[in-house]
Amino acid sequence: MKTAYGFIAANRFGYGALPSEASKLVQMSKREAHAYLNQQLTPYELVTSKGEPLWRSEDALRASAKSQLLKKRVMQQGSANEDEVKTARLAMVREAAQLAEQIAYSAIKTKQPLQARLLDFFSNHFSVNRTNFIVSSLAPTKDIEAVLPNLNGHFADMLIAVTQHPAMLMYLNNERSIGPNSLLAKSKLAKRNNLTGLNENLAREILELHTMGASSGYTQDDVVSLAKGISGWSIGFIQRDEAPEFKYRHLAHEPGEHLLLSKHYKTSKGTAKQGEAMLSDLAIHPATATHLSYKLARHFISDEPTDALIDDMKSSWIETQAHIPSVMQTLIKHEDSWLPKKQKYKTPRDFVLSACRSCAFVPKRPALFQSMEILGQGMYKANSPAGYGDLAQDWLGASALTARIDWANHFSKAEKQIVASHNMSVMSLAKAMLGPDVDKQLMMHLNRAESAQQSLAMLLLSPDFQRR
Amino acid sequence: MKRRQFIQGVGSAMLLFNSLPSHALAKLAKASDKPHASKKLIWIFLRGAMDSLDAVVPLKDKALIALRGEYGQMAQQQALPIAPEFGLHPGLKFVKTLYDRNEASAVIASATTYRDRSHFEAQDHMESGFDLTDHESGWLGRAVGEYQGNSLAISQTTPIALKGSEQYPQTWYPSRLAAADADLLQRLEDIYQSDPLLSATLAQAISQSSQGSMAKDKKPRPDFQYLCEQCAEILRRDSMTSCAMLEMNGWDTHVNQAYRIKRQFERLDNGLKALHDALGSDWKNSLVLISTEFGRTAKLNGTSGTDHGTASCMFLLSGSFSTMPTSATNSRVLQGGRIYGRWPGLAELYEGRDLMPTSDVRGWMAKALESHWGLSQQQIKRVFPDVQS
Repeated sequence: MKTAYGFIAANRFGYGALPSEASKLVQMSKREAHAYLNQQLTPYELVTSKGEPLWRSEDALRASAKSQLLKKRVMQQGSANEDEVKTARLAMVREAAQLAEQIAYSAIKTKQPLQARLLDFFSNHFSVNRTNFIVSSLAPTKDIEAVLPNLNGHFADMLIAVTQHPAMLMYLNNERSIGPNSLLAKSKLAKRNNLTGLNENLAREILELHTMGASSGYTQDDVVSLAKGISGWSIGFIQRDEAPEFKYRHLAHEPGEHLLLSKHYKTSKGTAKQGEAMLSDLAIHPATATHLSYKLARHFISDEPTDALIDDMKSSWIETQAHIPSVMQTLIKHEDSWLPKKQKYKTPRDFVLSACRSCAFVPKRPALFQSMEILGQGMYKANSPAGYGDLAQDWLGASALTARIDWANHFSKAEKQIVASHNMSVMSLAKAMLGPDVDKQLMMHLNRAESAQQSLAMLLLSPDFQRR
Repeated sequence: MKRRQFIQGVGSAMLLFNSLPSHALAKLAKASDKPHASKKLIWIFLRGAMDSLDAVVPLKDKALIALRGEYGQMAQQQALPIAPEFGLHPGLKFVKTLYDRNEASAVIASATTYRDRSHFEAQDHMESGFDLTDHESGWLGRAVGEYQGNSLAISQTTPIALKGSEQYPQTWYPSRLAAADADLLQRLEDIYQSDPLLSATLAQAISQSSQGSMAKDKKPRPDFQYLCEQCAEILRRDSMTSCAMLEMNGWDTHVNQAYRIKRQFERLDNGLKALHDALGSDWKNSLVLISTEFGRTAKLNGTSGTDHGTASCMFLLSGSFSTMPTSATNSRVLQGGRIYGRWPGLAELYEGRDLMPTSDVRGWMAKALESHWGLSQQQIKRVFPDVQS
């Protein structure tokens, strides 16, 4: 049997084939499949369903300042206008949900599904969760403003951009972290505003999750040094006429040289350079190369990727100073990427988006972000800075499968619309989704379904579609 | 390594016993493990910070009236007395019944070591059970690992509290979409024959959905009472599942507390009754532990509510309490009809605003693990390394 390289590329590195892509994919040689993926590694263009401008972190911070003012007034005047505060906050969270929906929508429509997958990967790698209304309304802006623009560049730039993004600063409490010997710490202002000193949360997660990985050789002293290096990394206060964005507060920065992983980092008067230099070095540290190569290989290829693959990616990470497209090209070139056996069980997110993409159909109800929530992988709801799990065991439970079955059953009710819009039967859709060599047994079962709707649900729930 | 072996175990078991129901399979896969059929531990986590001064009201503490005025006076008058010094909120009628039967106790003025007042950090901290929160390891997960049982989360994803056990927790939450019909499920059974893992999972899913009251389309919007019922059903059916975690939101009563908290207590109380009833004879072997991330300010704020505070209270409910001889003086065994912990009084407050903590919540959790599951001091040290025993 001829290996269906085009379909492997579309399923393993994207969200499956659009029905219109199928004929192109059937023809693809291995070389062409490589090229098909490599050419997607250009700046990711978000495809949106709405013309209006996207919700930005600046909008979220302005709206939050407004709602705080409103709340203050309510507190002073009694509970009469309590609903107003609630309404204002709900509106912010709704805006963020709309943005999340657009990110998901783009994954279905884009010509660069590989970039959409990478955006998803790094969004989860730098997981920010909806913990309160401000972080909820900021969370997806981190992906658009800090992750997306750096997908096609070096990991260090992404790391710095994410670390300095208001969503991350607030989520891991760095915006109030001040050096214990900083000028601010010694002032009365700190006492009055209950600023207690260094907060190690963000620094710890950078080392443990974002870069080197747990038990990779750094110590508690390194955590503290990094926390000092990024102390004073804060957010501008609108109330004080500061721009609502990342703000380096020199008065809150721990003065002096800091020692991180046996290297001295000089002070940088008035700029964030000291912390940035630390992050730049962490991004290309061998432990980071191993950690990220492993995570990427596990995400795209298999729950248990081979050492050979991880080593190749790691070398590429180090040689290219963590140039993300170069590392991806190494992955694409590797033979593990082209084994016909499907080794990954789709996450709920992958499942929903690939179902929609394969049918070129975006359901209105439930919306995409709601669908993911129903299946247990709500956007920005991982509940942990470590993000969602990426293994079959994280998602293959009885209750999760029931939810998936019910969702597919519901989705398939649009079967007539789907079939009509492509002028394709479910049987030919199956070939467009899974390649020309679909399992004969499966085709037989699909053919025997009591309705085309049931047949479509069975197709989406088949082992062949649920794995990639 | 262990995980892979487990999966292979299920796979080969499927080939041999294709018709066995899922719990039998689970048993098979873990046949080498010590069976723990009887003792269930259920943790109910009240998210949002429950006000303990309204839950277990200090009847004789005059400072309550000084702090809360008429609100405090009403609370003292309306409370259901359970001890000379304390009374329960009138919404907690069923808890009162249990208390009178020596099947419930309260712990007063307890908190973890977390002292900032962020819900999210405090919740993660309590779920993790370490001084330094680890988002990948939770106290109940570690405990059930020591007990060698399985765990269940009534939620869509695995909560932090249940992470950290080798055995992956089950999660269950009612599906929000209409259930697919039985015919589709049957056809999927056919299609999955070539895929042992999907096939085993589907068998489990079908067995869940076919159990009478488990039919998931019974109630479209699951309330706490329904979740309690379902939790008890799953625990009863699956003897290998020895602990479960339930959550209840809505305790963040910054505004109009009187009305909101009454509704909350009633919902909680109804849920507890449903849990008790649905557990049936298993109630005698079950311990329910209820806690919240922190307490609330002792004073009322400007909007007739309370703000984030420090110490709160816990509840311990168990059918096994009443079977214990009341003469038992062993302090290591938890009993019913007790007020545990030391009342610090409201005259002196933590940071001038909150109920002062006098014991560590995790110390009581540890006691529950020892008393109910018989975990050794060494095992408990592994669950709560930061807690002084």
